[in-house]
Amino acid sequence: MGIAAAIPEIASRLFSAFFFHRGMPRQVIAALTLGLLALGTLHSAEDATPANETRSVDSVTPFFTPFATERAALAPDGKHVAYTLHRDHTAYVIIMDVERPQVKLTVAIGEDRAAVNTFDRDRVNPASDEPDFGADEKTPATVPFLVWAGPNRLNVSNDVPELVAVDGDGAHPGKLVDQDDVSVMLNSPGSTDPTTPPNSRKPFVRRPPKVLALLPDDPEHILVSAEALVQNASSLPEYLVSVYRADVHTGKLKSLHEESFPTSAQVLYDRDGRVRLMWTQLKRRQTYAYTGLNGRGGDFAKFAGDEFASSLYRSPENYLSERSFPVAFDYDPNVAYVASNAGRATLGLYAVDLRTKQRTAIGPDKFSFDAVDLDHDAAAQQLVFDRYQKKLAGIRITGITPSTYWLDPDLAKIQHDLDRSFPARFAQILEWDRERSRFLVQVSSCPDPGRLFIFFRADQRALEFMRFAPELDIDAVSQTKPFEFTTPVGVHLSGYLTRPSEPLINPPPLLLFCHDPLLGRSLPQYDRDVRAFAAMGFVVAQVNYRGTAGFGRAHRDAFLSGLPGRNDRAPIDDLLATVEWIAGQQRIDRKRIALFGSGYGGTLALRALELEPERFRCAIAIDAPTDLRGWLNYGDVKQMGSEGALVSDAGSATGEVTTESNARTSRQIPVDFFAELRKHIFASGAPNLDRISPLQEIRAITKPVFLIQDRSAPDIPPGQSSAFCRALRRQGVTAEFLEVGPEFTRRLPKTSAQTFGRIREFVNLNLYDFDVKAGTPRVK
Amino acid sequence: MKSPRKALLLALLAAWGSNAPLRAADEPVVLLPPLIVEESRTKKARPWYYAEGPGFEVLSRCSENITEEFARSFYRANQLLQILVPPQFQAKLSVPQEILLYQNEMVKQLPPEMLREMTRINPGSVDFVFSPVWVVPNLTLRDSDLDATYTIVDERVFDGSAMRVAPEAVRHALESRTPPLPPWFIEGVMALYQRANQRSNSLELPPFFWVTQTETSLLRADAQHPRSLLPLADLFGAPASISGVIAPDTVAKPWRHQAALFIRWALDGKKATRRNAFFKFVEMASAAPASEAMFQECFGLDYADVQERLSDYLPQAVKLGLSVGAEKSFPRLKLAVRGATVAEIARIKGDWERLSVNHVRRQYPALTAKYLEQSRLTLLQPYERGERDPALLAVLGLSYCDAGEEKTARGFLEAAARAEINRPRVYLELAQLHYAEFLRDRGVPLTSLQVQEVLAPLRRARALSPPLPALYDLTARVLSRADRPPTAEELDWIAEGARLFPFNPTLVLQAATFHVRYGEKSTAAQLVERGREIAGDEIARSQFEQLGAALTRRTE
Repeated sequence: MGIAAAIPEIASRLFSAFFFHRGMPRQVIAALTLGLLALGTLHSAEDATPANETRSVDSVTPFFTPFATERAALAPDGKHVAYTLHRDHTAYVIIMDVERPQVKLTVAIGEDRAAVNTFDRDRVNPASDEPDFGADEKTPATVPFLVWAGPNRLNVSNDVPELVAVDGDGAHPGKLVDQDDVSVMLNSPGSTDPTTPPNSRKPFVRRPPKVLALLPDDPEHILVSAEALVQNASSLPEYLVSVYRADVHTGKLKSLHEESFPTSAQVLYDRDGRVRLMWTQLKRRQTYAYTGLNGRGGDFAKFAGDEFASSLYRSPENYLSERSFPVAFDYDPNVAYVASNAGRATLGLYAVDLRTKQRTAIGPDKFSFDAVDLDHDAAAQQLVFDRYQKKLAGIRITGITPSTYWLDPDLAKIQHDLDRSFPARFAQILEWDRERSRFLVQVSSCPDPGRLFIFFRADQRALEFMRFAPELDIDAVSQTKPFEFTTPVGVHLSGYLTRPSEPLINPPPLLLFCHDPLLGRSLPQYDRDVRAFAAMGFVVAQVNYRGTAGFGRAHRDAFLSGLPGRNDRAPIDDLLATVEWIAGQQRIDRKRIALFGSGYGGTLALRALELEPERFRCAIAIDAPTDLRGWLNYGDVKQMGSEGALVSDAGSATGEVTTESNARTSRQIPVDFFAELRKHIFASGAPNLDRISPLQEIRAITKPVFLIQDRSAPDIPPGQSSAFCRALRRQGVTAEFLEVGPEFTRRLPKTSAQTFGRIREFVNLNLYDFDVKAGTPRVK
Repeated sequence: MKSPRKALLLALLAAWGSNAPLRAADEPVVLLPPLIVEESRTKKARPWYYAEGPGFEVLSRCSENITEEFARSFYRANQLLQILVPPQFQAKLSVPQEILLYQNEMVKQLPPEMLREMTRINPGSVDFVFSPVWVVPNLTLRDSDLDATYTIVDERVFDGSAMRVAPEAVRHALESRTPPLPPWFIEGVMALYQRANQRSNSLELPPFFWVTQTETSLLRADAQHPRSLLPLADLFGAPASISGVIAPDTVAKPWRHQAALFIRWALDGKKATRRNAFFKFVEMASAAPASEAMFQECFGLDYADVQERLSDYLPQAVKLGLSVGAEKSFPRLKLAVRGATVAEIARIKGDWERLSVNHVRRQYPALTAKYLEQSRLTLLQPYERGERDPALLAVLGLSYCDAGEEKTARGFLEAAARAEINRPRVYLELAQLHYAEFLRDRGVPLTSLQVQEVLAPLRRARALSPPLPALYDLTARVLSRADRPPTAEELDWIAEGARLFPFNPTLVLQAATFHVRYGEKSTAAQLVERGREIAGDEIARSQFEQLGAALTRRTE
């Protein structure tokens, strides 16, 4: 309400400064409502609450409300900050004068859209009596890209997608690039001349423009890429990727280069927009194809130096063991950053000079945690570059608490000042101005997704200008603290403990949060599910048990090495040790300990119920493989049986836009890398896999179970959870099953609140033993 | 030549004028009624009335009704203040506040030259001299153990319900409290109190004012309007430039407003637990520097938690007023207005005149003798007629002390002490006299008996309020000249001085010296560290460094 109330007054004063260009194309006007919009006049289109919704839903709804802002950017001159604002199903960008923060301009970017799902509800679930959660839920509009170029020219991309721009003071608004501008003429992949009018009779495919990067030496231009899946008669389907240089004032495009890649390829650009590395999933062992600045190249391992030679590839066998992989290119195109755990316990980061093959370790020799994520893209996001000084400035490290390892001592000093100003919070420097006098900072914690500040270096003043979740009542939010301890058998564990702000019973019950240990971990950040469980009165423990990613190979192998021998106890033992440790810290109801897990974490929750039936009261499992053999083989079955799924959503449905099914008819079928990885982890070809499969030991389950499955989940065989549920019921165990759509997996607000409302009812009946009828819980 | 009366008036005006900068800039100008206290010689003169309440006594020349209304209103105003500042955070005095209540007629008779002088000092303010909103104090003079207030009222328009404790008096009560209150609390309370309105049983805080009118309006219109809040560590650990009277406005203003916001937030909790936590924190922060651990112990929240809450609370605070009620209804004041006794008239008037003389002595030394003479007249007339009220004797003794007539003073003081008068300065002065005598007679070291003779009255003074820094200073000086080491109780006594007056380098140095030599090492180390923090010059720093070195040698 705050901004809504303020804007009309400001709008009346500034409207004349912010207007449409005469002659602006109509489609631009339709997509980009430039001008000061008085948010106060926008009507709130609250979804009507169905009559059968219960208070269970209401109590968790706030935790699934989309954040009010998504991203922010500080102008190079430090005079303006731009941030997204999501209100009433519309996304806006607000431009705020940093020195006169009451002066704000508002740009409407897009509206929430009807959910676009790749599955057919009626076909998958034709006769279900269950409410179809998510059927009418919209997908929140997003602003994927927000960056300032030049001294104060804001560039924004939206969902349409198109790229628009406006000056910091609201002048010169306009579209820069849209899908038509980078459309490609089929059958002639090389002729993507942007000057060709999109309404010509030639068969064009419109391509969504994506901003690749800012140009380090050319602040008046940005790099834009566009890609389309094309099928030429003589070859396999390919992605046609074009890279342009776009003028941030006029939108004028200059084509830099154009390349075609197999559909299974992943690429890594350098900072000038050149594709320097590519790897495909056509083989289990994937090498990185490198292209030098001179156009020559080969296996990247040969260019990166001997230290990486034996580990610079990707395969199911080395993915979780000794491996090196490229992360990003430096502003110096001859320098690449490579992550590697070769010869060390955790992933480290190295700068490799590709001319000399010299490598330099970035940061301390021994990180306690993996310096970067196992995934290329996620790892690249962890590197912080200084666009003004054109160098790597820091690495975002996710330890027990998040931090940034600053290579730049000046930024380290600012970080120190911020940490002092915001004790017990995670203060993350997002951006800074050219002079380094003003810094865009996000301050967050586990219970609060955070706030955005401008930090003024001169007077050490922090100006708070946006809160991610302004509706969140901090007083009612449960507090979360990180913990670390060593178990009696010497395992060092860490995690997060959330205490309910209002326990329903005393002592409160405990919920053990089981993340998928294969690639995941508990993160020091706002977790909607954790909040929802804490609101149900649980003490929630998120434990980074053995097997968890991010803590180095030894911690991971302590679990994984047991799986081929069919021993999956390590995480469960760690959970039991955690229960004992928590009980020594605070009072909990040891007769009311619940398990919650998603993916293989859900499997572990069920296994814990089987292995330790006396220790746990109930389990809630989402998308949990209950039959491991069926799960591991599902990828093969799916590849044979799911032809027809459309891969490209970019082009019109002409005959030449290919589908994945066409690709599969060829001889080279891309490998589902992570399915292969799972098979490797579980040694699926070896006997006795069933020994650690919940289905095999289902008779050991005597406590209530709630199974939830996303009918569109790509990795879980449909019906596996419902079959498990029926089997439990047949043996007299209380079991519930709920089928949900992808809206829940994506945690869209309405569907998530409804689903957690059902979870709450399950908990009320089976853990709290409240004497209530299902659907009308009396608690909250 | 000016009459003595006129001269005194001028002197008092000048004294008040020099204190004027203590007032907030936007505060209404308070014109003090600078009237000399003297018996009316007219036959129609009203009798003196006397009333007594908790912590105050009123000697009044107003009507009985007005006197009673005044006393009840004064009591109520103090009760309302206690909602914001509980008694434990106000300076406590064993001696009741003496209030001289006058009607305004004498002021109206001010001679033209006096009006001219008042106009010169406060241009344009004479016109509303009789319509003060701030009734108490119109003029307060203070001794180390006493507040005496001279008040005039216009009986025709006097409205006790409008009476409130003047901000200057609130500030004095806060700043005089021992151990000292943290600056953020004092400034925050003052900012809130100055804008508060009174109801019968509550203080009404208007919508909060945040730094500037523009910022406040913007926040009212837009709850998301950007705002800058100081980290709580900076709020509670205000640098000296802020805690001092003069500070850069750009720094001090946001700090003051945030201090007020924090206090308002603490008082605005739905449950009393937050308010209780707040007062517990103030208590702890006045005994030791505030820390986050201390804060968490009180609130169960860390600094960042509350900083976020303040940020979220701010838009609400600028929009809505806040009614802060008393947890319990005020106890009814049992009050009986009666005719004042001769001793009461002489004591209260005489005390006022004594304090006036002290002012004149500082401002117009040449005129001191004449005012002293008038003061003596007031005090000695009843004495010579046989009045031996111990409180009157105490004032007489202090009057002679002030004049440097030690021998005469001693007799009155000893007589008052024998009657166990509750006036700490009486005992302090007696101890000073004993000590000076012993030094004159024997020099150092002092025998145990002599030490006890000095410490005995000091011990009685120590049991009274307020604590006097001179008491602790004398204790340390006596013990430093004693022929024996201090006892454990005496060491605690000296340390108490440093605890109550942690910004007094002399007391901290004395306590550190004793504890380095005789006390516990941990206490000694704390005192040395404290001394290093507050040492104002190189010499003082050097003294504490030497003590630190001595402590290290002792530890080795």
